[in-house]
Amino acid sequence: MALLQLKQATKVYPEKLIFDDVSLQIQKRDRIGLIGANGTGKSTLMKVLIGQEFLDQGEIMTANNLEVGYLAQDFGLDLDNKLYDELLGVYQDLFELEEQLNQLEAKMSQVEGNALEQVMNKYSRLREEYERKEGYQYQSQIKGVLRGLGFAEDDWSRNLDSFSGGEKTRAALAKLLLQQPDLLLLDEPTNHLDLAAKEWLEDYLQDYEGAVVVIAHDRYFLDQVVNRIWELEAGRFEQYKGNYSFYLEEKPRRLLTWQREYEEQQEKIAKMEAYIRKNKAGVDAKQARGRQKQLDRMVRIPPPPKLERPKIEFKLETTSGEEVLKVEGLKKSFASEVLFERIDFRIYRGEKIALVGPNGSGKSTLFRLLLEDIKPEEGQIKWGSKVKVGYYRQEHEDLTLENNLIEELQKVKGVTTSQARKVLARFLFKEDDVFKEVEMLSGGEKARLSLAKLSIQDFNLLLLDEPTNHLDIDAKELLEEALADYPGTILVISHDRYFLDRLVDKIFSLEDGRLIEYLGDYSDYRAELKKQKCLERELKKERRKQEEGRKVTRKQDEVDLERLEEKIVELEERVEELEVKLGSEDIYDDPEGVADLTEEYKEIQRELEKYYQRWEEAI
Amino acid sequence: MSNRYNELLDKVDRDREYEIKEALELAKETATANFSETIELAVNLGIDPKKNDQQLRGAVTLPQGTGQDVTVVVFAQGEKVKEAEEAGADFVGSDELVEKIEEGWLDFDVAIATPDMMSVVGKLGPILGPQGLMPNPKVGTVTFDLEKAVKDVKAGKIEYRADDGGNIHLPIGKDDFTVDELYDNFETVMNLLIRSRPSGAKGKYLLNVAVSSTMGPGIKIDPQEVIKLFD
Repeated sequence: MALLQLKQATKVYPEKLIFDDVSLQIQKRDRIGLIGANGTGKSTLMKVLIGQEFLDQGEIMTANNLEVGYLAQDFGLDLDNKLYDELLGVYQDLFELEEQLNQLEAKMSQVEGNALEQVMNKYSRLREEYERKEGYQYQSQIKGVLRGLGFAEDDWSRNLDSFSGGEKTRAALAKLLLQQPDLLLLDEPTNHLDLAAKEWLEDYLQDYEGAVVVIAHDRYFLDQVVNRIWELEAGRFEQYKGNYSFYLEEKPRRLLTWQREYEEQQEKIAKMEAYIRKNKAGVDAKQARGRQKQLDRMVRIPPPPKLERPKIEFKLETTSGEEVLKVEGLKKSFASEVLFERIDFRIYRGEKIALVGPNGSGKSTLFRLLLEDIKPEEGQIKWGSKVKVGYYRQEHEDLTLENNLIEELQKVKGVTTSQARKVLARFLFKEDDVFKEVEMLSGGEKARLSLAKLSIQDFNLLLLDEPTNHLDIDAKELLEEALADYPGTILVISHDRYFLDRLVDKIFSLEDGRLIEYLGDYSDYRAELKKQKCLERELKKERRKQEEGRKVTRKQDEVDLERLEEKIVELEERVEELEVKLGSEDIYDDPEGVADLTEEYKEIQRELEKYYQRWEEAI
Repeated sequence: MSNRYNELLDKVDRDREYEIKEALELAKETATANFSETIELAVNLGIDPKKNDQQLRGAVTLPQGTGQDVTVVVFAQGEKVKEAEEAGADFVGSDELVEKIEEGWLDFDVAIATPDMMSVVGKLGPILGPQGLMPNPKVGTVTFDLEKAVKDVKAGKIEYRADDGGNIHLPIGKDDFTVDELYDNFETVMNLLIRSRPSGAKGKYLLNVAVSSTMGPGIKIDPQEVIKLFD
């Protein structure tokens, strides 16, 4: 049975249809990605699912005792608590059980007979319940989730009110995951996670026992986690049975079918209308009226959204030389800390390269060195001939806040107002948007404007620092296509794994102060890293085994040496005894005895010789 | 997969449901590792142990023993110490034993406690619980009758418990047991499991039965034959 169902549900905001006639089901192990442009009502749909928003039409049905967890904006945290204590609160029922068990244990020594029997029965029952609720594991569960979401151990005992917004979101996510509700609703859970935490969350959600509905703009994350896509687009709701990549393939097919059906219907309508017009007053007036009725009853197919998207293009007039950039022995430190050193690489014309590495590894610093914002302590940067560098700044410091969009474009190139409008339209700025002041723009709009400015100038090497931040999926895809078609050279810093997979064919990874080159896209690079980690683990294991083996052998050797020494002492004592006997006079009265003793003496001497040799070898 | 295991797989028809004695014979034959292997029984039951009325847990004394040496610790005080020692307990004590375990010592297979010791043993829950060693009245390891408890465990009393998937795993002897000895143990266990069907269990109860040696492949047994045994 489904955990939750919507039947013919409609939700309308004043003057805006959020969704209409939506029927959907959530099954026990579903992994659903809810996507759509900003403002299409994804969060509203989620709030409908948890009962925070009501439907205007239709009904919602939930399974009995359904536990729903929702990552709320107000976090649902008690900010007076320390992080770890807050998470312990999830296990309140276990603590109560623990308390009861303790009381029963104490009582067992105080009662006898039937009363004891009763206490023991109750104890058995509660102990089982405790074990079933994984009472022995909660500490390790909390630690696992905290480490997975990137909290250092120092954070565990920090008060939540000292946490930043991002940290609070992560803490709330940790709490929600530990509660393990049947249905988990997550609105942009990856926003404040670094790469390692994202990957951890992907694995966690894949194995999650319940159902998951997640709103995310991170397409790589969606691809890893979900097996169904719900899309909200201008009041329309569509379901796709597959991950994000499947959705990308399937959507144009559906739009095409929709377009065809729409066109066929339009053709039919046109014919009927022509017939009606022609025969309204003639002999066939009756038929015409019949057609009119048919026409009135016909369910009209709405026109599908346009398949063709604006295409953006990065201008390139001057081709650079074959070797674009050569870097040798670059070194940079801050204070006494070496950020990186001995950095060598070359970039050739047309290469599309990602620069990756953990936060603080020096990616942006390397960019600033290339742009001569700062000077290296050692090393050289040699530019190839005719290289023109365009730089995309993550913080958009180069924008003039008082300008409007057209003026901003005109600042970098002499374009007419109508040319500027055309360019801006391709970057999804419509109508009056172009007269907005830069100051009024959102993060995503600023990003698009900066990219528009880059696109009209003649650059043949683009240095891009997190170009997809703040962009919605549509804009990201436009940018990806444009950059993929761009014949120039690109060096890009990005955390967007999907973007990197589609764009780059080489990775520069800054690891522990060195730069390492990997051929291939981002997924190849991750696979290679995983392989290396596995190998390292194997090697460590092997080394440990050998070490243990050596310890055992050493121990064995010690034992052997002890035995050898004991034997030697024993033999030496016998030799002394024999020497005494052979030295006594009365022995010579017994010639046979002498012969035997002499024989034994020689034998023992030989044996002793052997033992001496073994002893020498052993030490 | 090792060559040894592949060879064993040739001997066993994985799709066939064998008769009980045939399966036990085969389990013995497939115990070819260079140590004494245990013959194990695995039963899949049509229950949902997450529901309160469908849990299955208890203890059974194997008539032929398990073939294994079991190390037993007993938490007791006063005259009960002597009783435990005489019954054959390997370690007997109270506070000092608790301390030793808190320091990380866990070289035993079963822990038994008298009820009056539970207030002390209780704090070992986080250590003993995850290892399945926490004394529990339901399986007879919290009791004043130490003589019986220790002797039972030494003689082959083992605990069983259905996991979340309704599976129960139990040893029923070693590879040097005769087929009849193994059969005796098998029958006792199955008899108990069938009699202990939880009240909430609906539909088919005995879904799958299989035996294997420690390092050998699973050998399926026809559940119908098992049910017929006790009709």
